[in-house]
Amino acid sequence: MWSYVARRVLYNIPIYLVIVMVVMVMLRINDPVTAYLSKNATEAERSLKEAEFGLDQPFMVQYLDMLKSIVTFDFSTKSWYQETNTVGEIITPSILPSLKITLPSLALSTFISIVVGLIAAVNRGRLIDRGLMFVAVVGMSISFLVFIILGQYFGAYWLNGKVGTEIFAIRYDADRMTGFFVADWIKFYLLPVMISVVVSMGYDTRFYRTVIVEQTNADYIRTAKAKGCSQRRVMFRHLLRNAMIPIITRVMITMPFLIVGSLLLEVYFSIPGMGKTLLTHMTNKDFAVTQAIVAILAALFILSNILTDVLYAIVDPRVRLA
Amino acid sequence: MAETKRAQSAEAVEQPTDLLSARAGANRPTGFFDKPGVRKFVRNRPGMISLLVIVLFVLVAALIAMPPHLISLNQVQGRVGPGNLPGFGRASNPDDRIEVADFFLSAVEKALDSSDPEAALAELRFAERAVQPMPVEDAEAALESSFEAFDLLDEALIEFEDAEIEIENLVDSGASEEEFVAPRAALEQARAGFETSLDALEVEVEKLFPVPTGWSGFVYKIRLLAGTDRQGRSIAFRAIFSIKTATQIGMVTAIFSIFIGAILGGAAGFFGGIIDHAVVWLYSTLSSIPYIIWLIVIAFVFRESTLKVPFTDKPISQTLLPVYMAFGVTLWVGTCRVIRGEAMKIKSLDYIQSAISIGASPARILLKHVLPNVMYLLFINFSLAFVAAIKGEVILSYLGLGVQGQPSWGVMIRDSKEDVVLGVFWELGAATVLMFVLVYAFNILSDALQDAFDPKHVG
Repeated sequence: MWSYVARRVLYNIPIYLVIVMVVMVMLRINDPVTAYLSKNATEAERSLKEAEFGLDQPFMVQYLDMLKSIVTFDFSTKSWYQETNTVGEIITPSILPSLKITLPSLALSTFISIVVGLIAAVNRGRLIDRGLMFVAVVGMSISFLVFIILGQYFGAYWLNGKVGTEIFAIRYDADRMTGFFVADWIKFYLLPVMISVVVSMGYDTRFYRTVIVEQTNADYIRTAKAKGCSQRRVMFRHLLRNAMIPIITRVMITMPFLIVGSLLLEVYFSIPGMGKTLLTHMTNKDFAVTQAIVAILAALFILSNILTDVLYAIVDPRVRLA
Repeated sequence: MAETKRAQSAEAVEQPTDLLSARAGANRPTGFFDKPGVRKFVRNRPGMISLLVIVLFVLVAALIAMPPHLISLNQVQGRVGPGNLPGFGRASNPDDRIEVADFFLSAVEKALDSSDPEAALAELRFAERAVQPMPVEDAEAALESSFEAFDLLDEALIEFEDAEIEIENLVDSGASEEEFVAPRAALEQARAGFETSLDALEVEVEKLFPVPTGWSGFVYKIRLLAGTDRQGRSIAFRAIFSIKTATQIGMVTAIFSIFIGAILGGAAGFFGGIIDHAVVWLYSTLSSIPYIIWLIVIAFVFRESTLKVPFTDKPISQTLLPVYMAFGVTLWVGTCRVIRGEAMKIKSLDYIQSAISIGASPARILLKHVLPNVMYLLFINFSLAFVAAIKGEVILSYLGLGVQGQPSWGVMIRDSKEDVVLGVFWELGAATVLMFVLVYAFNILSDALQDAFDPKHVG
């Protein structure tokens, strides 16, 4: 088991090293200092800025510096856009808001989709199954952005107008925090989370339904039924445990979509998460923050990949020996 | 589900003929449409309908893109009327009618005020609706009488409102039924007067701006079918033009991604060894960054870039090239994974082993034996990549990183954001409906292909 985990970690380290290098090279293709200072800056101004930002050093030195900051999580270079803050001071407070969207949406959408998938699979071929799958395909065919725009309109403007009090805030507002974690979360985060869950459900329910249908036809289910297991025991002891492998794969596949989704939701509801921070600083030509956030996002993504592999090994003994 | 069942039962009915011809041996049909998968696919009615819809969309896109442009870029960027008009002929409520009249009259007034009224008047047109050719003096007179009609309308409106207020006062004071009779009659009269003066105003406006008839009148009607956006541009035409934008992005990225995916995946799966390791490593690296992050990085790189696209004079940031690059980097990974797995499976099958043993070259084996057997996967992945590109475009355009200088569904949805808050859904609706039809058709098509060629597939 542990040797397997160690192998996965070792396999992913070189991948990550290359990603950081590729990102750093790409960001330097079009000289960031020229872009920052505008085109008619003099050579002297440019080299002054370059020295200030540490871009005059050889690439390998910059690369190793970057790796060092990632490993120690100490980003002490100055931001180019908010010049009084270091990159670390900008990124650190943005991590928690992002997690407040992504983790609940991941958990909720996985849980609800599995339940709906089970309902559809148990009733397969019947009206309820066909209805659910039709709704799922319709949901898949509508743009994420439309869900967000309509979700905000009906969930915040329309609902608040109908009820008279504010249930969900139209957008994030740091001044209106009450200090109660749960109340604040419901007010400012629940609507984005619900939108995210609705969007991912279209894809997920279809997938889980197919997985469960396939497993119900498997021999071991017939055996379990034949030896007299109750329906519930068959479902949860036998079927769901075997379906865990595709389910974990699925959760891993949805990770990038989750990042994209949370970026969009953050921008739309102006939640100060990592995606919003990245986009704000990118549009303001803030090279230092852009580079750091991309590297951190890739690191988070690779960590989630490793975590998935470990989970595989836990639920499926065959993987450990491979 | 029902379709699959129907297809299965249809197959069961036809099976005896199949068996017979198999027994007969030699003259068994082997054409493209006789393959079991293809036959199953052709019988899948939703699948065929969605294929038809997709062909229709591509045809429209081609008509827009080809030289005698069905809709040109200038046509969709120009104004056709006042902003935020509702569609489906719902512009017939008085407020909108007044706004339309005001829009055309102020355009004429502006033209007459300019330094060269004659030229300005001759140039004045909103899509199909042009100024009636007339001397400047006549136009001035017509404008004058239109303004008079406008004044009359204002008076009628005030009268109407007075009558309304009177009735409200009566309601508040709890008057008896008889007291209402006279004011109600007055209100009706005021309403009639208002309608007449509005009609009169429109007649005056039409003298200046005749409503086009015949073919151009038909086109003009379609132009106003879904109303106008905030800037007074035709929503219907912009939504239709976006079919071209979407098809362009979808085609380029989907063809690129299945091409690269098939070559790399096929090579990795078939040859194995160092090639396999290299390809797997490449795609795990690229797919470790979500495409949105790739796009942000690519946009950051080309934002200030003065690089010109070959053969055109546009800077890279003004074209679709960054969008293609972002999708190109990530979308081929899915195809590559699937093809690699399939090629590994096929490699160990008997017929490939026999082909190898009779000394067929790797190129021949790949093209003649492997490729036909993974063709359906390429189609499925083409349609998946197409959908991913169209949906991705919307997200990128919203973030301001996507399509520039031409309408697209993403640009329209982004622009409609502020109108939705006011309860105006025309622009959002038009873009969403067209996009929904295309993406839905692709989703159904993917399912039909999956059902026909790979029934055991999960997900």
